[in-house]
Amino acid sequence: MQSIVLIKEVPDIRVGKVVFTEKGTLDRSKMGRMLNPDDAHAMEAALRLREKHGGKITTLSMGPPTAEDSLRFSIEMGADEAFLESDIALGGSDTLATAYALTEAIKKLGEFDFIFAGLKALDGETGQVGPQVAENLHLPEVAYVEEILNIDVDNKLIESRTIFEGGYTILVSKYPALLTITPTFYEPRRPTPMNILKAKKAVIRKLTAKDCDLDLSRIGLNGSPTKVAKSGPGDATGRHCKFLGEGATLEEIIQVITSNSVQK
Amino acid sequence: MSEPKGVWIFAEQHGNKLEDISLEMLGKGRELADTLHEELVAILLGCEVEELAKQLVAYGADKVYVGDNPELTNYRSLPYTRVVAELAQKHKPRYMVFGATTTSNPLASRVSARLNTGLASVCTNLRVSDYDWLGKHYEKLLMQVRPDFNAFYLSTIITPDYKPEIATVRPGVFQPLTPDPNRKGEIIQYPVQLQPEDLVVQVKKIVKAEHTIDLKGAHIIVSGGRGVGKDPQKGFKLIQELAQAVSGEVGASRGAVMAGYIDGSHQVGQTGTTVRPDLYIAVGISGAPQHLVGMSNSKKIIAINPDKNAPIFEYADYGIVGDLFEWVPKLTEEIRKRKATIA
Repeated sequence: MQSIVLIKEVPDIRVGKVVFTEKGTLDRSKMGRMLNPDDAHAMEAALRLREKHGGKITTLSMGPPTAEDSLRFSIEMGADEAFLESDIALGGSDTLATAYALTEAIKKLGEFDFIFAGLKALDGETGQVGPQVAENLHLPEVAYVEEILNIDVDNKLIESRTIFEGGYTILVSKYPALLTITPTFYEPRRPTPMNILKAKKAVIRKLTAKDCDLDLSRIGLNGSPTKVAKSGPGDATGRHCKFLGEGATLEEIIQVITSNSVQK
Repeated sequence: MSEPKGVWIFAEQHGNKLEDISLEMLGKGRELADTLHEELVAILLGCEVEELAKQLVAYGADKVYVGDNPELTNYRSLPYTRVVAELAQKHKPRYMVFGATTTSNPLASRVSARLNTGLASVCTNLRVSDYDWLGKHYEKLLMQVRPDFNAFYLSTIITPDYKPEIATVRPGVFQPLTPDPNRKGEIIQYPVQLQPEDLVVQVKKIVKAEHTIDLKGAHIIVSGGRGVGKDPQKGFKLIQELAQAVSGEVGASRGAVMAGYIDGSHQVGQTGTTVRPDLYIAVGISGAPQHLVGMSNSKKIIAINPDKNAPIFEYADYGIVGDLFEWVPKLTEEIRKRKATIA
């Protein structure tokens, strides 16, 4: 069973790790980087599949040179090999451009049965790239997979439980297929000492735009259909918290609760 | 070749019932179409869905393209993508809007790739504007406002050189219009022709979660998070009591659901329910991004958390820094007292 896991490096926006500039925007230069959390769940799903059916796991990331760390982490988790598609020409790519670049890189990686992707990236993307890659490769995608239930190797069918807003669906898909994995079932494992050692020595293989025969008019800022016209500190909800004892009284808080608890 | 025109929405239905998001998109879509003086068009796919098409007209659609076919009974991305993309290629809409749901998100993604155009996802506002971009003047661009990094940033996305401009929108943000059964609209059957390669995924079973709680319709939600971990059973009992005292529903963060403190039907957030009650009380919830996106549109938010730096407080109107096992019962008691006085 040959699997490709798509991974992304994202700024570390976990609690306590967020640094703001004076203007109130995220200060990425002062923030750490990490493997996109959802991708670790996708990685875990691929590892479980390999445990059951054998084969190889290749991880692929498109990103700046620093993304090598996340790829190395994927080897710590158990990936067999890792590729980094990195090129100055790719900078500023939106999801369509990214999906195109990943598609072309995947074509260079050879035969595969499954492509795994996390549900979404923490830093703004929202689960588009996976289905777009599937579309580009003319593959079915099975989105929001919570658990892979069964694989029928003879007929090349995969049965999975996928979730939707009001419940779950059991889907049977032909493969090769692309699966997006929800972060609700496959809890990522911790790296073993052996794999940590392996990751240290591993060679992360680089792919440039040229290696992937990318059409430069379809990548980077210029090749991306969507543009960020404006970006500013979010007003989030425009709220300013009044803390109990510092501006708010218990009476006031109780008032807010009781005034809303009247049935309308 | 004719210029792209019209505002299109993808009307999501499950089990031959329109989803709320479909009506919400018609509400916003009507506003956009009126600004442009162009048509509001809905795409409706399913099996024997004629009745739903009439509803879409009542809720604001000028035209409904109906793809009626047994193979379209349940959503599957490949056959749905084929029909939606074909219709768009044929009629060239200016904008296309989909719901940011587990159904429509992959669909919109595939459609955007097939049509080779941009997709701005999970928008919380849409408006029409002329805009100058890199020295060029563009007319009637769709300004697609979305929170990035879970509202640390608010970005406006444009798709200046590609058509259609495609966006997905967050459920629960836009208001549906009041339906008018006398509204006139055109319902057009589209001859669906699918290929064998569209049918490689089969739906074996659809299971609806037992949904006895109504988070969407609740005026007040009291939600618990990982913070109850010290004694989850007692924690959620206290939360339940507070919810009862205020005639509210019990919600939960994914953290609490994943830790097994409470069942998933209570989950608020990205993979749970998006809510916007009059009052949301977050108890022991630090405010992970996927939770925040599901509740940050609540009218009033009160948070109780021991860590004053927890992100939830940035979204709250009122904050209590302290132990929930102490504060939740205190609030419940105070509210009961007052109720008793009124009674």
